[in-house]
Amino acid sequence: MIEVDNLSKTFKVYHHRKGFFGSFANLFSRKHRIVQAVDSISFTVERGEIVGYLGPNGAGKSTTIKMLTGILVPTSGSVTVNGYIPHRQRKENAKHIGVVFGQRSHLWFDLPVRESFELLQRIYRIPEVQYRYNVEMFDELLSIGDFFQTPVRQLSLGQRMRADIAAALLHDPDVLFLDEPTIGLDVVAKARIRQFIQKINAERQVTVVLTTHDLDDVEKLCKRVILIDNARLRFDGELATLRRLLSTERILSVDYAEAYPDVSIPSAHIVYQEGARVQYRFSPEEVSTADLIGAILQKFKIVDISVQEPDIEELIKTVYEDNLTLERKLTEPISPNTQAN
Amino acid sequence: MHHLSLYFHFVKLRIRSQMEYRLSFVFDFFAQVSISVIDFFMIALLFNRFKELAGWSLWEVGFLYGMIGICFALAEMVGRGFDVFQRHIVRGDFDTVLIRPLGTFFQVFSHEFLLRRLGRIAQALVVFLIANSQITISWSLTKVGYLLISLVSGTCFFVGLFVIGATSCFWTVQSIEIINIFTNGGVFMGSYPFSIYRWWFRHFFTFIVPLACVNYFPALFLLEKIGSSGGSPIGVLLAPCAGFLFLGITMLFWRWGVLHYQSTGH
Amino acid sequence: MKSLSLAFQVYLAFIKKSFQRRMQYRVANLVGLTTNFFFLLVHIFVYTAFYAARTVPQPLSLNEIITYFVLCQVSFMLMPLWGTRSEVTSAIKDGSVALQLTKPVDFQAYWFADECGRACYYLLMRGFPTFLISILFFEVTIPQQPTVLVAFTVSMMLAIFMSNAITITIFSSGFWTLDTTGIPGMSYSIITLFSGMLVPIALWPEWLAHIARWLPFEGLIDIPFSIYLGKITGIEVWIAIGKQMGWNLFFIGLGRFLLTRGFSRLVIQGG
Repeated sequence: MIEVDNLSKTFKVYHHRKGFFGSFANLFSRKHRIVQAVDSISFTVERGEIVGYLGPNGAGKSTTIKMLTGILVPTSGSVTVNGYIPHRQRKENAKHIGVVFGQRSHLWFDLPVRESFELLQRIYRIPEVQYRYNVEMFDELLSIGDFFQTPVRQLSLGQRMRADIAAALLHDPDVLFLDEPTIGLDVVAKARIRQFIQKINAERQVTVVLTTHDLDDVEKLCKRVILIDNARLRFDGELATLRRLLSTERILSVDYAEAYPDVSIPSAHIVYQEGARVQYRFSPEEVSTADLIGAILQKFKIVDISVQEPDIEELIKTVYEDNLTLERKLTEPISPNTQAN
Repeated sequence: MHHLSLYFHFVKLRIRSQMEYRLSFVFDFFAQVSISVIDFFMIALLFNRFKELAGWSLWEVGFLYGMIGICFALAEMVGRGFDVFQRHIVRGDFDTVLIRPLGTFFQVFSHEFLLRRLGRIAQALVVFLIANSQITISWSLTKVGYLLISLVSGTCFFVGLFVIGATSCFWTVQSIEIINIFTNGGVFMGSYPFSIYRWWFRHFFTFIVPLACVNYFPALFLLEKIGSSGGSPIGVLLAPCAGFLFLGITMLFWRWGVLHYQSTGH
Repeated sequence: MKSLSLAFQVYLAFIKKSFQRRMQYRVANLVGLTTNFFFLLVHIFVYTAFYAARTVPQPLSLNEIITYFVLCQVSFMLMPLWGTRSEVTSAIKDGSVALQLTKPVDFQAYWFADECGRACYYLLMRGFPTFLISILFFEVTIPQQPTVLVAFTVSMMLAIFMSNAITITIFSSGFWTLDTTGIPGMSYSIITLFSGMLVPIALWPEWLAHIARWLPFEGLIDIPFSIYLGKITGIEVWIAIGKQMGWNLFFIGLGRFLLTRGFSRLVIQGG
């Protein structure tokens, strides 16, 4: 469905010379530096998948989406969507994809939603039956009927997003690209949009590529995630795999009855120790939690004991913030701060 | 056919939204008329004192003025999308254009329609018609056809200028104002016979930016002034092709420019 | 006295800010210069051709006409009527003018200060370069007597002041009509006509020139330029400058009146 191979995009960022003569010189030649926005990324997406495309701001998410939708021309590498090369067969590709950008509406600002939809019907040449069927269905799921006659500029953010998503699906696209679809929405509105995406995906086999900052979106919608950072691909696989990978390491927190001088236990590393409180890092594949607790109980007296599974949001956040690669993250000890919660 | 019906649909929507502010529309209409009336009134003042300009009478110049005025106002009316394209680029609206299954040129072209330019068109048309009644032109079917083609070609020329200005927005938003020299400046200089300009000026505006082909050469043919005011018969007959050719070249330039679109906020 | 000098400092700061803001757009300025020269060139071609056929002496010689249009290109950018509009002007347009009410300064004076910075910028970056290059390429007359230059400078400053006062008056009408293009557009064309910017009033037929003499707008272009060219001399210079001053007072007063009324409307309607 979507094939991305070794895809790269660089931008020239121009440097503006200062001063009167500098600005004159800017007219003729400008110094620039090259910014690598996307760096040799490859992945494929199968029909009917929902893929979360994640990364911090400026990681290259939007640039990738823009290359997949034909907005930007790649610097190198290849992309095909539905068998079309988006930037070369832009119009053909456009007929088979739907695009929603959370930050910006693709509807006509001064037209009522209904007229925007009718325009799209003309542009995409959607047969009347199909158009009516879709509008009815979207009304049922997203209640667009509530604001169907309202000009787009007067819609609330949540209404606008509903209208935009419905508009992107009017022509029954095979692939739906959603760039931050829940940004700025309240909890209820978010839930509604997630449900809708799920339903469309299940019933129509629409492939969905989703970029988001909201990990709830990911948890609720995506089986598979692709993580990028600094223009490069960091992880591509099932969300469950990511979770398993990340949770190969667990934390065992123990409050001992007294501060023992040597609390080391085989097959677990001490990552934190203060008085009677000790935290161990261990891998469930090497030693089961029960065995570990058993070994501890044999040697010491304890007051309290608990096992923590590092939660995905925290981990992804640290991956972004520290700019670490996932691999490195997995081999390094977890800092005490992250286990505190 | 699809494109044509789509275009008229877009135009209908545009006109409707402009009519919503009816009072403002009427005010604006009269403002347009008053500005352009004074424009020609000043030319008339000069002729009142000097009687003629390089062998051209007031109404012969009025003929020139009317032709270029109609072409430019028409171009502003239909080519508005390119004229204000800078705004769309800054706002990032061009992304939306690229995700639709229609050509980019067509979409930008059909995006705007400036109905209020009717005032300017009306004024130029009135000057043109008065000029016609004041000078005796032996109209024939060929001449009428030639005139109509010339007007369309001239409109294409100005739209082409807007397209160049719009295309340069793919690289920079700073220096496109230079195009004003050719649009507003072009109308101003095109209101006078080309023979008054120096040779280098004339050649530039004939062969590089074919402004002379919009109204001057056609007027030479229609007023039967070939020879007395310059221009060769063949050149004059071919002049109306220039506008179409110019637009064609600018469309290629546009196509190339689109590939360099960098979008915003990557 | 102390508060006066304090107020002066505040407005001086506005002038400086307005000037600095414009210094950023140097490329646009270069393009603007080119445009100025293009129009100047076409004007010169047209008048040269008109004059070529005439043997009868005209009220202005060709050189004087050329000088007149050079001065036109030098100075029209300094006036908000024809130059690019300032932020303050667009503030009335989009209603953000209400924000200005919260500032503890006189709005009209603030506007004048802003425009003053603008005029300084265009004089330095557009006006002087245009004039100097024109001297190199065209036969521009330069007045021999220093008194003429002094009188011209005074008259020119009054012209710039008046163009501001007129602009405020026109845009203040927007408080009532809520129309921001129609009425300004129509007034613009009438003012442009009677200022003598398109054709010097000296070349007009007598009856029309007579009307122009009774209107304030010749004070924007035709009066200062005629002083420069030595067409107005002696006691007439004083009369002309007096006329400019009178009209200045009239428009400042009218603009003030309309602004105060407009603002109170704004407050009542809640913006």
